[in-house]
Amino acid sequence: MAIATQAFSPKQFSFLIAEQDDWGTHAVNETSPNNNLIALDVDSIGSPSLNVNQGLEHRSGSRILQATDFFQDIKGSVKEFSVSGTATTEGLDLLLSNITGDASVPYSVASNAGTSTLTSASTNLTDQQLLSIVYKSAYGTNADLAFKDCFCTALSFNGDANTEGGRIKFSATFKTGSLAEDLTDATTTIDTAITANNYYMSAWDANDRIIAGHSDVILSSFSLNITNDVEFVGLTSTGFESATRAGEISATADFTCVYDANTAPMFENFNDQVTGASEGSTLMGADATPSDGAFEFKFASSVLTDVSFSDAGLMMLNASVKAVGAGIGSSTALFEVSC
Amino acid sequence: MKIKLIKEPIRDALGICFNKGAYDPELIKQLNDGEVVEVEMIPKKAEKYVKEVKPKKSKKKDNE
Repeated sequence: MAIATQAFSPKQFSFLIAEQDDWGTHAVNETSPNNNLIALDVDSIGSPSLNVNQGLEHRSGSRILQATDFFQDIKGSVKEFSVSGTATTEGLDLLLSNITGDASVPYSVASNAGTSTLTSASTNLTDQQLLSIVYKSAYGTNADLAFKDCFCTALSFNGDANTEGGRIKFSATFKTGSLAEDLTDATTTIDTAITANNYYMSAWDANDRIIAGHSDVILSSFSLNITNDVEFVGLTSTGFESATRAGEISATADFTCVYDANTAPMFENFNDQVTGASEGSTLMGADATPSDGAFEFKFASSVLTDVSFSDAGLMMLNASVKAVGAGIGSSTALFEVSC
Repeated sequence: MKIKLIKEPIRDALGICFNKGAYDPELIKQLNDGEVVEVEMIPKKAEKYVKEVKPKKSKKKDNE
């Protein structure tokens, strides 16, 4: 066997996601409905973390790890995938819908949200509850990495006025407790290619740039972080048979803004926040309501978690907020995000 | 304490809270409609919008 004559650029690889309707059946194998594999606009596809369980301790009777001592299990592992790139409409709808469990824009989580469980018996799912993932290889022959039964567990967005004109970027983390679908998958077809549907911070109006009730902030940069983790239980020959979103669902945001008449009171308000009360809403939008077609987000109630000076060409202010609910029995949204 | 609006309407989008708990849009609507509302506190950022309505002292008549 001779050495291979072709090497590849990392940029030739693609990261694809699709809605998956039945637990255990990868989207590429589903026929009715046939869900599109959508290419995310990622900077780098990264690498899947297979998290195999290995035993590398040599057994008693020898000072050497013998081949027979080596242990490996793949059924009891939670695989993780992380990507980051540019936020575009098609992929973002899948990610936001999956992590919030909401089928329509604006994607939101209610203050009284409970747990959500899917099992190996879950079929005919709708609304992007399960995702399939493919690492599409540049090597064209049976080299795509395919994973099924995936959940988006963390999603963050960021933008910087001095980077790419404030274009909104994203990072996402996915997990699955099921065995890999195929690590030598045949060449996968991209159904929906990357589009140019970019979002920009510049779309937000001054009086709709609000940080914990302080409006008309002049932003330099922001990040929005959403988490909704999954616990996998019930080990079977095909991996874990049950997945439940049970941890805290949280939304936090960090901002760097100009220190001015509108933001200077933040120090006092951060210090004087009242236990048990919201400090005000946090909104980034072109209007007061996150709506379809625009990247906007809103925490109806939020508290300041940090305020500090940030030296730059101008005196800037770092402000961090966390969304707070309206009560355990309230259906009022904890947070809303639109795209 | 009781408060009422003194200036322009409070924007719903600001999410200003006058009571413990989360934002109450109905309370803001009542204030913007000109009603006197019972609240627990006036947050700093709301001082430019509302003022406390203190109970009127009853005047004693001279011949009493």
